[in-house]
Amino acid sequence: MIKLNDGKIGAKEFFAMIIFMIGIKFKDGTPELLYEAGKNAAWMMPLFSLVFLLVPFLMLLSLLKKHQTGFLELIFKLTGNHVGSILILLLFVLFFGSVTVNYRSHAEIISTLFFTKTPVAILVFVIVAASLYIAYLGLETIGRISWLILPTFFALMIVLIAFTWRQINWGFFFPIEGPGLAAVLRESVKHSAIISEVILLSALYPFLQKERDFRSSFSIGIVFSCIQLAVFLVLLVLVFDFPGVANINFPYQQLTRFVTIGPIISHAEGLFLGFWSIVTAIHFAIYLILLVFLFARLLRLKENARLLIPLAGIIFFLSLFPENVFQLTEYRKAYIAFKSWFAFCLVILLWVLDKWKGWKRQ
Amino acid sequence: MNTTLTGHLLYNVDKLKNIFHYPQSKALYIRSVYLSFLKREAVVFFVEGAAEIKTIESRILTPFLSEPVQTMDDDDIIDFLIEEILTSSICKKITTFDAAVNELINGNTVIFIEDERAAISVVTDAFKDRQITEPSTEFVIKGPKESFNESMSTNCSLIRKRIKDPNLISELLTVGDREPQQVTVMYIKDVADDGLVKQVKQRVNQIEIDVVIDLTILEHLIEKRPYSLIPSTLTTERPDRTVSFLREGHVVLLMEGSPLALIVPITFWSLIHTAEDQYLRWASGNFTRVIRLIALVITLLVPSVYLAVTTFHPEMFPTDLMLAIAASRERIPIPAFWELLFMEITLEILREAGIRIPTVIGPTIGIVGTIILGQAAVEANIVSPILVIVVSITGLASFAIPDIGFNIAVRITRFIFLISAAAMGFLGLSLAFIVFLAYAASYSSFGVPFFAPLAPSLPSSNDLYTRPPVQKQSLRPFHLFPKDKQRMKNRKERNK
Repeated sequence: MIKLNDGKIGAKEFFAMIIFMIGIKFKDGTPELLYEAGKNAAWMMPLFSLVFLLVPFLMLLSLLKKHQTGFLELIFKLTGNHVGSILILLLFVLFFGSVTVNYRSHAEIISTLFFTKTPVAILVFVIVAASLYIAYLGLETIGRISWLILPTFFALMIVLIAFTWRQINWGFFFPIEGPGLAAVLRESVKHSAIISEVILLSALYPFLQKERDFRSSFSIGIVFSCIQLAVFLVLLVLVFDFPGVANINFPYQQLTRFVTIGPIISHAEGLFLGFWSIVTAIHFAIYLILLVFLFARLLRLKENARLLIPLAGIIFFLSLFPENVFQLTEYRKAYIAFKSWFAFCLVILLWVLDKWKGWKRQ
Repeated sequence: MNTTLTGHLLYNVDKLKNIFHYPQSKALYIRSVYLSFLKREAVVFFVEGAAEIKTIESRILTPFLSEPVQTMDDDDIIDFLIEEILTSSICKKITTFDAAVNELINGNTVIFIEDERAAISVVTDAFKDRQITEPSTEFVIKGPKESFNESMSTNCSLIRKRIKDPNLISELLTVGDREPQQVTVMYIKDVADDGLVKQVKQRVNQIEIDVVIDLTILEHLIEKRPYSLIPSTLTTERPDRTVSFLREGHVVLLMEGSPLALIVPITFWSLIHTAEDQYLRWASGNFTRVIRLIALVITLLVPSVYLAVTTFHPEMFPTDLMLAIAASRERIPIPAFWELLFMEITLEILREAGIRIPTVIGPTIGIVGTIILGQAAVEANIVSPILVIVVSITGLASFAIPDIGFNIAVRITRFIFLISAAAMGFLGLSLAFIVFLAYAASYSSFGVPFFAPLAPSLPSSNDLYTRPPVQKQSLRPFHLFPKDKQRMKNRKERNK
């Protein structure tokens, strides 16, 4: 009997979702934060963060395998109902806030670079509406379109690298260590939230067709995303040099301006804006659906696509609160710093609780 | 009306006459015969135009009126007549008026016998059919040139000619309350998934309507989402294409009076592939397929990309080209969006008119199209010459999309994209695109997702954007859950 629309996704779809959740962060405001913190060695930060998060990730995977439930159920199971609710509430608030800020920051990028006359509210609205519709169609659909778009995404990224190759000055690579290895390491830990957000994806554990797929896609996806982030952070430094890259706004979008495809297309940034918007819509749809998961678990509701509409509505209005980009950056910094520690500690806490319970039973 | 026949011949005859409004209607033909070897009266009925008189004369009347070699040894007269007198290959015994009427309107001859509670039906139908001709919409240069005609039995035979397999099942279902019509459901028993076959039959059986006029109407009736832009079924007039779908594990529906086969379930790929992709060699087949995909992208996106670039992202073009475009638009008083919309709609009118126009004055429309739209509109400064190029390329490309339903869906979507590009340039266009893609990805036909087996990713022969050589297409697509998953065993297994 045909069971293809059972709401579950496969390994490839999940992998694509991780890429679109984490691996595309070089396209938004993230590089700015990283360059500020890691100077021209910022490209090492995703890799160091990955190393730093290696232990929690492995703990998480072993916990999931042991208990065979999603991340959120795991929290309830190990910490109990009350503490679990508080933890999930915290997670929800954190992610809700950062998604809101991210929406606004995307709209600001478009507003600053492309549509200077269009009100930011309209830009936010369009992005929210598109991602809401995609999220409304469900996890399956998000997985499918992620996988459909992924080859084009890689192809365009290769085009981007190939056509900006001439602008590269390998001398800008040095000093390799930037502000010093210790400083880079410290900042990597502080900014590990950029990657550790992926922990939330483990809430989708029960929605994978095969349990084995989760582990492989999760690991490959994260490593791939980090390498991708590192490659683009290197590319940006090699093209713009430090501190130039930290001083210009939205270095990725500036980079796309360098792409000249022969005598036909003199500036391809419009093309990249188009594709970037597609990727953005998928990116936010993933976040929205994760938020619904959190919210539904918090209130013990069934995951219902209808919950998306009020959530997206609130996100839209809240995202209009910050007055300008500078406020936004501050919010982002605060969120990232807090989330980094929270995610790390949460996983450790769960692991310790699990061990402690096992020990007590013996 | 579903009453059984009585033993009174006169009563039976009168009742049947009443049903057919005889003598007011001249449809029913009645011929009485005296069967001397039985010493009984018999009445032969058939319907004008539906039955063939010559067959009736040679298969029924001649044996009835000549002295039989055999003598009556059977208790049942009806069985005796069927087994030993009538020379027709298909005869059956019927016992109700309902059955008698059904047989008559399907062109068969019904014989009532004196003092018998049953009747005989003999197959004599002779509805006029069109010859088997070349396909008119799915033409190929290399490959079979037969197409279906309006007779269900001919269509079945065209399929059976290609699949010589006892596992090819054809089941008969009936739809329509007022005028019951037969629908043939065909599938290969040891390939097609049982659940799928059951689901298709269920959908057909659930139809509540008085008359199903044609297979194309049946197509709408078995669809789950009637308002959707994307079709969830496919019709083809090519028996070879139908057969290749059957062999993959699809289910095919046929109906009397329709020169098409209805195929379910379908995916995006079946809508853009053609039979010729497989008939041509690997390189040529893939080339035509890639060209068709490019045409699809051009149809969908070129007008809106043009609009987005000229109105929102002029920096994309080199200065010289941009200046050329600007210069050509200089004297045009209308905004680019309206200009484009006007031209696109005109093109659609041209297409529609081209289909409806009588063939005799067909060439005129070409002249009207090219001269009035291409030349005069430009000279009158209503549209710019570059726009004419954009619209003609789009129009030309749209003809390359093979399936009519999908073709029109793409053309409609093009207008949606046009509006979004007019509103917000590349941002609007790409958001509209991803929303549309998401919709398509969530869409499913009989439980099979639209982009399967690419997304969701499932094992298949990768007969998608391109196709591998025939010998490498060893798997049946898994999204259909075929019972027999492999088309060909690999060499090692074969040698065992």
